[in-house]
Amino acid sequence: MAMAARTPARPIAEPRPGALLQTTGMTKIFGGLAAVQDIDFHIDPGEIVGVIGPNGAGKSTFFNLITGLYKPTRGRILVDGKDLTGRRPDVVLRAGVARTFQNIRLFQNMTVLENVLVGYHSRLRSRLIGDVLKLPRTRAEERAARTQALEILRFFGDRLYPYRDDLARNLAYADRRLLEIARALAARPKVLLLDEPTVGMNPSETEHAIRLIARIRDQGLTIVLIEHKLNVVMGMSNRVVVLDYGQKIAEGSPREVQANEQVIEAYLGRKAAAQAAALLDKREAREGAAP
Amino acid sequence: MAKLRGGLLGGLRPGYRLIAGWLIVLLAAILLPIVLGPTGHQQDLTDDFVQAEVYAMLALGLNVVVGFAGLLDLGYAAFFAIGAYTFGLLSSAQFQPSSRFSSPIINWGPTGIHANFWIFLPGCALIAALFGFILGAPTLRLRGDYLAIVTLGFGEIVHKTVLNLGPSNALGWPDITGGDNSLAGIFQPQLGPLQFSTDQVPWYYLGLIVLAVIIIIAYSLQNSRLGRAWVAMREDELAASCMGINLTRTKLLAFAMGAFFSGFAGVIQGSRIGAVNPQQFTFTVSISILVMVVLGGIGSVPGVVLGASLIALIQFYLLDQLNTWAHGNFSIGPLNLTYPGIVPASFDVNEAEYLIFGILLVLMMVFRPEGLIPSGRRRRELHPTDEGIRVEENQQLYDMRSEGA
Repeated sequence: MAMAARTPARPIAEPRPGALLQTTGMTKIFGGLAAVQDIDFHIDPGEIVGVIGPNGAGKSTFFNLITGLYKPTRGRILVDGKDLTGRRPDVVLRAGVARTFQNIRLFQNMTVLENVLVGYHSRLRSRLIGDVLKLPRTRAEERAARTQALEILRFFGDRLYPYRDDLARNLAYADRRLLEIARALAARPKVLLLDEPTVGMNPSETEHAIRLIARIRDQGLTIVLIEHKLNVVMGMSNRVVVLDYGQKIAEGSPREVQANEQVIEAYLGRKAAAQAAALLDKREAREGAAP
Repeated sequence: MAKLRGGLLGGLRPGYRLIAGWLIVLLAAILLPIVLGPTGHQQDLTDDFVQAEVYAMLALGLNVVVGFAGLLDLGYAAFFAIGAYTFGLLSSAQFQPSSRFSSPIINWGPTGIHANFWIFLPGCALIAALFGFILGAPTLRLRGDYLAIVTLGFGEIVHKTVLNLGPSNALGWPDITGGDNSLAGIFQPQLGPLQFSTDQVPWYYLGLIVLAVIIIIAYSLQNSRLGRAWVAMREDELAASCMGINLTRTKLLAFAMGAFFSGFAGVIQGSRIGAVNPQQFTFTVSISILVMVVLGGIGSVPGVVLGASLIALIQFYLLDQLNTWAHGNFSIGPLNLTYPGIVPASFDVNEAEYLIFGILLVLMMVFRPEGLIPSGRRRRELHPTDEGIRVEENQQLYDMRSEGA
């Protein structure tokens, strides 16, 4: 990771009008090391943006900064034009940013349905008095939440709905990942942050998850996707942001990013990158000669 | 027992079965003083039953904190003390203001302060809840063992404060709490022509009504947005926070609701006995309440009520019986045996109370860690094997399905 002290202060990017989620100059320094440094990021409504990078590049730290789990050392977070820098995670969620976790963090001893209902927490308006007295309004609200939660579970087909009354920890591994998405969807976020949603899945499970994420996107949800599997990110993202050593090293369409030398270097190392470049040169030379 | 209930009420839907079960318990509780009859023992026994009701209120309160929200509180007796002392100070001759004031809610004069019991019963519970907020606030960042130790400290602080604010205290202040000498002469309520005093039967029915209300509130809380937030917070604080749960509010509400219940217990206990003493609110009291919760079933409303009843039964009845048996007298009904005592004549089995609680707790942890009437959630948590087979089956079906896809 880059030493923070050596980096000169950069001009902070201007807020981008119309962006749903934006970070400007986002920096997090852990004991002198910059885990995330000067990241300008934005996502417009309806986009899917992929965030890729080697292990330890700062991808999850970046999500933790956006969702308020870490307080940024520098920089700002804007959601729908509202400044949420340094706010608590529950405030960030209420502003419309829901997330999943790389290492699954479900409420293990709650049922599948209850997990989704917790996702509804911020949208239910009953307070202590209503909860204790079971006012008609509270009852109606709970009934509605239950119906909607079941609808969300049905969206995931036969993976979650049949197990709605089972404990979350009894779900199969891949289904637990799906339940995390279901729980996040229950909060009706404006932006959904998915932290490696297909990690640990086999190819067919991955494919199923990708189809589901695509269906969620088709319903108009804006998604930021951290992924390791390049085919997943490249296949579904409008735009890809590449992080390495906590810094943004490239940004662009999947095709542009794939051809970026710095990206190849970050993924494969300098020597391998040189070899890859040599190969590319050869191919280009051949292709140039062919027509 | 479970079988019997299944047989009697098995045909009902689970929700109705629960209500029917509680109605049977309530009916039995209402009939109890009538069944006991006006024998010589009645007063004694009813006294023990009121004590059991107070225990049940306390256990239900601690259950909100420990069982629902998963916050280990080792100083819970502090809130019991705050309820009892608040009412005691507001309704006794402890303070004798020279001015006079009179209203239906509270009146005072040179003979003391006289608060209206019926208003200050919930009122003092609200004050205890306020202290729940205040004492909860510094613990917000703490978890697990650290939280337990800080709450233990709070329990001791409240105990020592009421102990040391007595006559001739180190601060040179006038006597506030009566200290070790007790805060005595707490007024007892009147309801129409009925004067609450040494006759325990009115206290018993009052306790029953309050307990019923507390049980209903506990169930409502459990099945609510807040109850769900408590469980989520207990399971994974960080994820709960990311799902929009305000941890500060949710934790403080758990402490406040727990303290609220114990406030009722404090007022009833103080007024019933007519005196409060710091000795009633020691660390051992906090632990005893925790034992009731663990014994009955953490997080389970009926379990906790049963746990409190059992501890009361042991404390007020079984220990005395054991003592006479151990000293060579066994009598049940017409049967009367005498034999050489199995313990030295000077040994009082009552002294071994906490040893017996300790053994009970160890046995519970080994053989039935989920408690006597476990909450559904704990049972599934601690006995995953019942479901394990199904899980394995699901996994295998799942694998086949994925391969087929």
